Amino acid sequence: MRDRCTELELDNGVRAILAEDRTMPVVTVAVRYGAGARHESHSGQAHLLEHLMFQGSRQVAPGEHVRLVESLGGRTDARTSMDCTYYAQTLPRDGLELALWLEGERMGTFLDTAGQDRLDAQRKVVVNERLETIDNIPYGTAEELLLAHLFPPGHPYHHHPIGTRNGIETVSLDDLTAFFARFYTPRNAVVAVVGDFPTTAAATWAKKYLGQIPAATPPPPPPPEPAISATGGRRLDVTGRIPCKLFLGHRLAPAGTPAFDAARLTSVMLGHGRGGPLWRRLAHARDLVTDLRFRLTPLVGGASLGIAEITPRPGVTPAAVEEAYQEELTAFASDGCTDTDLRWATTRLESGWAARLETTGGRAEELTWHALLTGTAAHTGQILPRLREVTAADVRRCAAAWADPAERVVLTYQTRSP
Amino acid sequence: MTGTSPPRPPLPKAQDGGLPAAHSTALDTGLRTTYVDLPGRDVAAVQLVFAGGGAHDPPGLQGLSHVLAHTLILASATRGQEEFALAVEGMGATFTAGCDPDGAHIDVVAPATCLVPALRLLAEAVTRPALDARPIRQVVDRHLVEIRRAAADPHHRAAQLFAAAVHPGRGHGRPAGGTTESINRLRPQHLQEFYDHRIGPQHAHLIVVGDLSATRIRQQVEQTFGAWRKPSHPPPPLTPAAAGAGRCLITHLPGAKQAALILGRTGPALPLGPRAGLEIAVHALGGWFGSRINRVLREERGHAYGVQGWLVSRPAARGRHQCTLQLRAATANPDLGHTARELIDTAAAAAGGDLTPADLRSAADHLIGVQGVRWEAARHLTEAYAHLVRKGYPPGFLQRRTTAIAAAIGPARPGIATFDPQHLRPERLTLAVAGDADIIHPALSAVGLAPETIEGNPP
Repeated sequence: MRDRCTELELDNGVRAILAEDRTMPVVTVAVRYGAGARHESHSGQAHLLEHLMFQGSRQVAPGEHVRLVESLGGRTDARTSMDCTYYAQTLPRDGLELALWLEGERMGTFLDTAGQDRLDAQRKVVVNERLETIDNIPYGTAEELLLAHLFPPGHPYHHHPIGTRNGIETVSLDDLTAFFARFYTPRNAVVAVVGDFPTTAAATWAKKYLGQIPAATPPPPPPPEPAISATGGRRLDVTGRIPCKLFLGHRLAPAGTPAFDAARLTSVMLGHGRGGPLWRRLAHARDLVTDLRFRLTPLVGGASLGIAEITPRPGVTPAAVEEAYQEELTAFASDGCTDTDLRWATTRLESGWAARLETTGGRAEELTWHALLTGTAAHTGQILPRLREVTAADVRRCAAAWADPAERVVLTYQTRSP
Repeated sequence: MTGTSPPRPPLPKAQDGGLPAAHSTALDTGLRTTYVDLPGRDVAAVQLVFAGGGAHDPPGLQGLSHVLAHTLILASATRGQEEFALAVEGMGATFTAGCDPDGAHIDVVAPATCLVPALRLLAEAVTRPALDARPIRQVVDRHLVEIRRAAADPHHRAAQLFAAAVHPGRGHGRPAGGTTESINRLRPQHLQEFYDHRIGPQHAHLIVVGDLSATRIRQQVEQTFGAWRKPSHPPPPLTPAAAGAGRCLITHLPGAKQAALILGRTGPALPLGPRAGLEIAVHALGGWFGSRINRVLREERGHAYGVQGWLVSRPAARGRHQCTLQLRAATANPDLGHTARELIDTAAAAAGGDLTPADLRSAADHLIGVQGVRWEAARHLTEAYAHLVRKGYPPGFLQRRTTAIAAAIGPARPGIATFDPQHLRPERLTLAVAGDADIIHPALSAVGLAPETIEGNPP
């Protein structure tokens, strides 16, 4: 990364990363809390709290946080995932002090104003978000279904971070304030400031607005995840007025491990671009698919999530595509990859990483994630060297594990007859 | 936790996002070029825009531009699909294609160190294309699947319904990517004839954004594209639809649990100042978080996850701008009637002069200030300029638009944008709704609307 990066620990335990980069006159201020869906006692708790965090604090009116940022020409972002919740605002550089104040204000005084009326409106917003992104769009339910069958009941990754419909409709204000009090503590937060600013000014404002919040006992580490057994080749079918599509859910190594690095490279070979080995076989040589993707979700609690999405050509059955996928994956695991394929995949990851880091928002997201994962933002700089160390043998081992049908869940969307 | 709370710092003044300057020129072959230099960037982006998009496709062969653009990026006359993909991706570049109603395009994102070889591959694909039957068939197969997927997506269905209603019988009213029937009709000779007739340097525009000083980029572009001398013809001119009366339309999606709504119109051809005023007004209604409709529908009632609103314009005769405006939301079925009513009533209130100077000024500040943030990455800046080029504007229009917005809200007119509120009168607005007609028809009727259910849209 080209930024001049400084890491601070404020008196109350907030970790602050200041990454100065003067190439564009913008700045991103991001806060990542180690509080996600896996920490919930009630489905939807973390996500609804994320919404409520924009509904005001002692000196900020409901909705004013976003309005202030946008009125300066900025934008806000917030995302709840399994392991954490991420808040960011990217705005013209003059807005840095305001952004740090807004984050400090809600971290310090959210509980002063959290109210039932604000929750009631946001509950409906989240119901609409769920409809718009999951329940009412083609294939929207895929990830939720795969999670529910890859991870057993009681496992923290068994349910989707957006929350179940019932969970969203029944979570109480007390549930949310208790979650905030337990997890939104300074020592459980990582702040990143990335972009065009003088580091000394950013450090001063970070201390002024975030460092003054009283320290609190950090949350206890989550209990160990329940053991995961083989899926037994679980199969799910959904029928709808949509084209056939296959989703194959895999459990991968946890984020931050060398085995996860190997999974990243393997996933590129199996489901990125048009030059990869699996695409060459399934699309070029066998002419069976119109689309093939493999996406990873890094998770820290025992296993990460990998999903292969395969779209059959019109006239090709999902069963035929699944059989071919299995044959090719088995052959790949047996024969291994060539040096050319390994270089191709590494290059794609390198260029994807460069594109990811091109914006201040992308850098803030990576810096806070790696700081939370490993304790230091400097780990972000180790990503490419680690990926370059992955060998063909690592990829082969990874592919062999994915080729085991007893370790995956197969979800098929079938076309309903008219 | 309740801690001390330092007082709010002073609010900085909203400013022009300050986009990097674009330099436009042309090769002697007629290929127009635009360069934006971003020193120190690790990633570069390129877009080659072909004049004319789905709206200009021959009737009956809609989707031709889409399929051609997507076929061009797969191979060249000298490299087959595998070899071409490995050459592109082996240097860390990506080639993608797109097509909207106004223009087809090829997009390249590449490491800055590989910008020149990526440009050479782009030139190879476009100037020596491989329009073979197999890649064409693969693109067609993929697109047919996508058309069927989109037909189940309420947002896409509402957009199609709206476009067909406000551009009746015109190219902009047809699906830019075509229909199942039109795509199935395509044959390789259609693509070859279309390429021969329409694709050439005189009707294309190359936009390059990145750290250009290190590559002597203009010289490289001349070397790479300078030999491309091929006659071509402009896309057929389109006649805009006359502004019609507003309607309320439904497209049926059985079992949908949420309805997607679009409220808007097309029609006014405005000079630049009033165009800017209308853009500010639409933004104040639904274009940002602080907009009127977002505040009511999302923040107060929770009836939508979010609201969007924007104005699209294209150059028209006598220096005017043909405008289409739309406001979008999606809402759970039980709230549909209220949401539709709220959209219409808020627009009606605006038509009655209800937007305050503060509303308009905040919206204008956001429109201007957000540019630097929204277009931070090379690929985003490329698209910002390319979007205008596809609509028929020169890249310099971006700055003219910004200046016009600032002037519309400036000190000479304290807070009063120069737009005619009559453009937002409800009888001129069309409401397009995609959802379960058995539920949404009575819901819309109950709030005083007279919905018509449109069969067979799309495909």
